[in-house]
Parts: sequence; C-alpha cells; structure tokens
Amino acid sequence: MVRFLLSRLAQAIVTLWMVVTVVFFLARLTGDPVALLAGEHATAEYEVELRARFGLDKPLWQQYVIYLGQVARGDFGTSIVSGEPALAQVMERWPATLEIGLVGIIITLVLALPIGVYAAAHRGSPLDYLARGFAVFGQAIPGFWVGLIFILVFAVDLRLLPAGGRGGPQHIILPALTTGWFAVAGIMRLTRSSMLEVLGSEYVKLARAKGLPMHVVVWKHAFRNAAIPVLTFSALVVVSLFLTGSIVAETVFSYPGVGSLLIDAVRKRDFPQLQAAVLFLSALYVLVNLGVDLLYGYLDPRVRS
Amino acid sequence: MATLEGLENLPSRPEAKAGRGVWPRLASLPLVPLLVIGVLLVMALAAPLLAPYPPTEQNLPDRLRPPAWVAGGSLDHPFGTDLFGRDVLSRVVYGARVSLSVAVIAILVAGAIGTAVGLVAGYFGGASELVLMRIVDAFLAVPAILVAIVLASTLGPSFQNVVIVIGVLYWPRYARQIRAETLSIKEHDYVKLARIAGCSPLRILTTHVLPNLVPSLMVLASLQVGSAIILEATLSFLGVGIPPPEPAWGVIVEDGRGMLASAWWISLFPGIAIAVTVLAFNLTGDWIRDRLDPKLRGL
Repeated sequence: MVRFLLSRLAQAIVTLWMVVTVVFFLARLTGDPVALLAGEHATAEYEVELRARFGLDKPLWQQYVIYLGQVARGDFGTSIVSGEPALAQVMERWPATLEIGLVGIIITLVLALPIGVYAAAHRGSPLDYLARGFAVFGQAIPGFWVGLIFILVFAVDLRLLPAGGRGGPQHIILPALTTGWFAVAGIMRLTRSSMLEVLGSEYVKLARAKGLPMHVVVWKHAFRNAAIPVLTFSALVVVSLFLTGSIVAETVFSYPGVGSLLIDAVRKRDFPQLQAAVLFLSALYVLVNLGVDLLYGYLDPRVRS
Repeated sequence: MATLEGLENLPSRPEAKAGRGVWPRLASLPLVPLLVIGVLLVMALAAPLLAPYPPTEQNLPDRLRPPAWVAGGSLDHPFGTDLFGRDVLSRVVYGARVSLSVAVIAILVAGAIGTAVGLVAGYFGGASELVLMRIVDAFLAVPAILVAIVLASTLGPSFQNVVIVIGVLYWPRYARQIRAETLSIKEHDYVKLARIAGCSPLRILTTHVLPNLVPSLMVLASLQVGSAIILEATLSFLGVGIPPPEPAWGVIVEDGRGMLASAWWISLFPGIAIAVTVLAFNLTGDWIRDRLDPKLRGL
C-alpha cells in the first residue's frame, strides 16, 4: 500500500511539473513574453522592471529556474487588470469553485446512481427506456447550452431561481447541475451496465435463491460490487469533465469562482492572472485525481500491483 | 410431439432474413442518424447554395428579429436575426462547415498519431514501449482544457489551434487501444511467418497488422467525433476556440448569451444543431461498434 501511495504521489508531482513547464513554454512561444506579462498599455519602465523580475534577458534555462522558484513561492506575477498579485484573486475565489464542484458531484451521484441501478434492476421497463434515452440525449447536449436553457426556463420564464451570481443555496443549484451535466449521462450508463453484469453473477443468483427480497439483493449485494468499477474506472474522465464543467458553469452563471476568473483573464488578456488560475486549477485537478486513485487502491487491492 | 404448423407464424426480424436481398439489410442500418449525418454533410458542403444570406452580412435595420412563427418575425429570416442583423439560419448552416471540419480533421490527426505510436509501442516492445506508454500516460494526466486555454491566449484563438488541442487530447486513447491490439495480433501465425520470411517490420506493420486494426479505428473514431464536436463548441463558446465572426455553433450561442431573455432564438438554434449532430454521430458510432466489436462497450 505504501509503495502504491508513493508511486501515485510521484506521478502526481510529475504531472504538475509538466503543466508548469508547458505553461512556461507556451508563454514564450511567440518570442518575448513581456508583451504577455505587461499588457498593451504598459509603460517602458514597467517592462524593464518585468524583464529584471522574471530574468527575461537571461538564457532560457535560467529563466526556467527563476520561474520554478516563483511558482513554488506562489508568485505568479502581477495582474494586468487589477495591479495586485495574480494569486490574490484566485485565493478569494476558490471557495466558490469548490462549492459548485462539491454540490455538483453530490447532485450527479444522487441522480445518476439510483436511476442507473433501477434501470438495471428493472431492465426493459418503461423507466429503463426513459433512463437510457435520457442518457443518450444527455451526452449529445453541450453543457453550456443546457445552462442557458436552465436560465431561460427557471430564471426568465418561471422566475423560480436566480440567473446568476453567488448567494444562498438557490444560487448554487443550477450551476451545480450544469457542472455535473457532462458527467451524469455517462455515470448513469456505466452504473446500469455495471449493475447488469453484476446481477448476472453467481452470488446474486444465490442471494435470490435464498429468498432475499429484491431490494436487499440489489442494494446490499449487487450495488456494492457494481459501484467499484463505476466510481473508479470513470474517475479520471469524471474529474476532467467536472473541471470543464465548472469553467463552463461559472461562465454561464457568472459565478465568481476560479473558472470564470480564468475566462475573464483570457478575455482581458491578463496573462499573469490566467497563469495563476490555470496552475491553481491544475493543482486541484491533480490532487483530486490522486485522491480518487488512492481511494481506488484502497477499495480494490487488485489495482495496487 | 412438436409439430411444424406453428413455424409460419414466427415473427420475422431483419437479422433473420439477412442475406436475402437488399431491403432486410437496409432495415438494420441506423437510418435516421445516417440521414441526419447526410443532411449535415450536404449543409456543410453546399452552404453557400443553401443559406439564404452570407453568414457575416450585417443588416442593422433588421436586427433582433424573432423567428418566423413569432409575432414580429417573417419568412425572410426563418430563425430570426441577431444583434447585427445577421440571419441566424444562415449562420447555423455555415456553422456546420466549421464544426464538422474541425472535428473530422482533429480526429484524423489524433488517429494517425495515436496509431503510429500504438503500433511502434506494441510491435517493438521493450524500451520504446516503455517510453512511449509513459508519454501516453503523461498526456492523459494533463488537464487538456487548461492547456487549450493557455494556448488560445498566447497564440490567439484559431481554427488550427482548436484542431491541435483536440488532436492532442484524443491521440492517447488511440495509442492505448492500438497497442493492446497490436500486442495480440503480432502473435498470430501469419505475422510470425512473415517475420521468418524476412519481411521488414514496416511491411509487416502496414500489410498485416494495420488492416486488422481498421475495425477498432473505425469504432473509436466514430465514437469520438461526437465528443470532439462538443469540445470544439465549448471552446468556441468560452472564447478560446474558433474566433468570431466565424459562425461556429459555439460562437453563435455565445453571441446570444447577453440577450437570452429578449432574443432567445440566437442561442437556441445553434444548440439544437449541436445536439442533433452529436446525437446522430453517437448513435451511428454505437451501431458501428455493436456491429464490429461489442467487446468495446466500455468505451
């Protein structure tokens, strides 16, 4: 278990390092990154200052070392738009992102798992067809559009929920649903097919032969085994879907998290801010993946090879 | 005792009659999705002929007209117009070009790279396999959308950047699948005999291994086109994909976002176009997969 933990940890660090390096090189792709870092309205003195600070007149490898040091210290430069350290906004906004992410995961699982289980247990029933149809449609509809439809229906027409911004629980529902949207259909389908496989196995037949009531067979015996491949095989995909989902949802609903900060920074050409947001989200992504990986290793010892 | 009388009343299924004539075979094709894809291809190829107006032609006096069936709309602009008076229907029709071509080109690029890597890793094994598969793992671990956003902000959003991003995102899956299959194919007798006969590795790979991989490649590609279209639309919507005023569907949805309550038609129709397109590709891909290799259901 310890070896498994260490190897996964090492992988996570390598991935983070790769993202950091890719960002470094992408910034220098067009030649001189001063334009990116200083913005269009920068004064000549500011540019000189930046050159000194990031060592831009030094050879590339030295720049890289300086850069790595800065990243480690959390110094991502100064935001062109706000004039403050780029990390400051990120630090202010990350709780919002976490909110939507967590609520999104909960809603997704609460919706997708029971429906998937039910569809498998009642295979061929109208609900099964409905669930499968919904899953097929759901994977074809882009999340950002779903979010806009939600706004149209719930905020504009029905006036039940707010169209954006942050506040109480009513502000979280729609963004959370939109964040999880990409993943719900996939998880539902996977749950259903995994359950179908498990329901055909010998110990389930034994349980039914013993006379156990259906819901005990389904939930206590079948589901526990079906859940492992569902929750873990799809983990990497689901986490990246959630990353995309939260960036999209925050933009659509103007929710003040790191995702919308990222898109804002792109629009306003505020590269230092962009860099800070990207690196933060990458770290979050890698961390969550690591957590899921370790959970997988804990739940299913066969994986630890 | 069993009798033969009931046999005429058995329900007939297309599969049961397979091999007897064209129509039963046709019935097992996913006709509706294929029809939709056909329509889309026509839309993409013949856009200048089909669209009533050029997609970027502005017409300010006629701006923000609702669709034809709503009060204030007219058949001049069946889907209405946007903030600059551009016809929404024309933009959606032209959008098919952009979305389809990006997705197809990107999947082709990803497939080519992934297959090459998978073949080399699977066939030659050893150090090359180790290194290549580690690279594949590395690419899979990096959050692609973030890299896409950084790329768009440094190089500027563009058609080719989107193709690069999607290609980079999708090639590892091909590599993994192709490597796994190459590993098993290379143990087949005809491959071993070819090696003994002195065929060069290149010849073996292209003449013996590659043709056996075609079914898997087709399945993977058809399953991924749909998600590539959604990814491109998402990137364009966020402003890091195809840049406006190019009428990519994601761009049109973004155009309408500020006026959702008053001019809902601008965002609605391109979204429907995306959903219908992706649905058609997904259903076709599922059918291809079921036909060629049901074992791939996990994908």
